[in-house]
Amino acid sequence: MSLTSVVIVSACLLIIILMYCVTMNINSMLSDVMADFRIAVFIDDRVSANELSQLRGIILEHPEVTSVIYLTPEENRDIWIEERGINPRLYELLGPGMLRRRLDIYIVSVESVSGVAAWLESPELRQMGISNINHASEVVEQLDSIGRAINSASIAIIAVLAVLSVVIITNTIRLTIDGRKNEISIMKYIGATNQFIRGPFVMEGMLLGLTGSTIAITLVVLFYDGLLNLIIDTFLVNVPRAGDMLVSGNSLFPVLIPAGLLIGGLLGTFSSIATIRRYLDV
Amino acid sequence: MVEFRDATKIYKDNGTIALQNVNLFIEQGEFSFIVGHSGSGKSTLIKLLFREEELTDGQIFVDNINITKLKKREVPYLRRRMGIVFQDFRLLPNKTVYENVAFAMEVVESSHRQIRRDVPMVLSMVGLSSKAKAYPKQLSGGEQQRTALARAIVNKPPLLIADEPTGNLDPDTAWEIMQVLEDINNIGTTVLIATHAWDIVDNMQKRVIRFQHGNLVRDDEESGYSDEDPVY
Ligand SMILES: Nc1ncnc2c1ncn2[C@@H]1O[C@H](COP(=O)(O)OP(=O)(O)OP(=O)(O)O)[C@@H](O)[C@H]1O
Ligand SMILES: [Mg+2]
Repeated sequence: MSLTSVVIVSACLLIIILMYCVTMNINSMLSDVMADFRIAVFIDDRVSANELSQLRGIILEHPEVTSVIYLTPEENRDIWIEERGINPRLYELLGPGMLRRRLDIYIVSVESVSGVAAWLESPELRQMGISNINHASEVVEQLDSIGRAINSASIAIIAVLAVLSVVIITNTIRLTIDGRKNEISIMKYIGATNQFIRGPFVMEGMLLGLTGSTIAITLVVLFYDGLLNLIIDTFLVNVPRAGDMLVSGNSLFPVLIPAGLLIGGLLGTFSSIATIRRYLDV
Repeated sequence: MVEFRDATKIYKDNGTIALQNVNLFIEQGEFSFIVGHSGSGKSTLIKLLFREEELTDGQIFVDNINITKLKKREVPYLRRRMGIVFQDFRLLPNKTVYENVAFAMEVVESSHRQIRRDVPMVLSMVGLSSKAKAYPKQLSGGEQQRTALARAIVNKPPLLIADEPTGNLDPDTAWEIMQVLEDINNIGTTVLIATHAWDIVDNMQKRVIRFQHGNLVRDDEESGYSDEDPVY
């Protein structure tokens, strides 16, 4: 097990772990943004309370709708003022006609937004009193597809680096086997079992994987939170609650540390077993 | 102890018939030489015994076990029933004499206590007690072959097979090694030696099994190498 192979395996595993961290953070930010996502439906003033509750029931029955929340005109106004920062006086100027009742519709996932929105805009539902709909489906869908793209890209990068680690470990084991050909053939003459001969090589591969992942994990544990704060202070100063949207070390490490060690150990073990099968005729 | 029944070995890659219809029976405790011209099949016969090569046709029994039927993972256990010695000693250069011999016991998972007890014993039997701490490169050829012999018998196998064990040694040293092999035979080990060393074979007056082009052509109790039909 040379220093070079330890360094390269650690570097591969470090990048794998960093990719995982980046992806987790982006996913967390996106889901934070999308958690608030709902379709606001404004109700025609002529609709009676009875008709409204009937409409609400119909919407709730849609399989992709999880909940429907009713807001009085006053609550509706408060939300506008609070969320959009619209001057309260503007409402007074526009008069009570502007203030309509509203249903906030929450859906299973952002993928269904277009479908549900189209359904809500259909003539039948319009007839039941929906006057207009407010949703940012394009933005949300775009965010969603960006999230998916990032996930696939990071899976691809992780796969490439995992293959690279396997290649490095395989080569290391191969060198060790080459260096011990003589010893191995002697062991065979004196009746060593396959397990006895393979054992040390499997151990070496496993140890290489574990050493690599230990080094990578240690680096991440030491510097993760510092790096996160640096990113928040440098790039996300103007983003409210940026700290909450990102994933802190404390919530990441309980999964990352055991999973990282396991993956390192397994990569090492499987690489060496594969090498032994190919290059060691036992 | 060892039996060949209609044993035929053909090397597939070049079609060489290395052994043809060999029938041979070796009693437990016997001391026998395998002789014959270069290429007559001596090494092939040895390799078949420890399953380095597999028989094309026929059967071989070692210790009443049909070794032609052994599975690959059972081969190590066959090899534990025999000591194997080669012309080129095959010692581990980075281990001392003691460690080389102890290694054979470690491989079969003997206890440290057993190792500490048996290794010095077997080293003294081959006359190497004073060299226990030496490395192979610090030894003469004869001493290296004594080490290999010690390693071959330390696990007390019932059978010892050797392919040209004196091939790299001068005549005097070769003779000494033969004496050690005879000592090993005297404690009950069956000994089978493939060799070219006709002078030694002549002097030892043991069983001589002669091969020619893969055929067993002579099998004489207590004979010499060159009785009639001399090959050299
Ligand atoms: N691995 C192999 N593949 C193909 N042919 C082989 C192989 N080993 C030996 N042979 C052939 O089988 C025949 C018997 O060879 P073997 O090594 O058994 O002879 P030998 O009696 O030991 O000879 P020597 O006295 O020179 O050691 C020879 O013709 C040889 O060329
Ligand atoms: Mg030979």
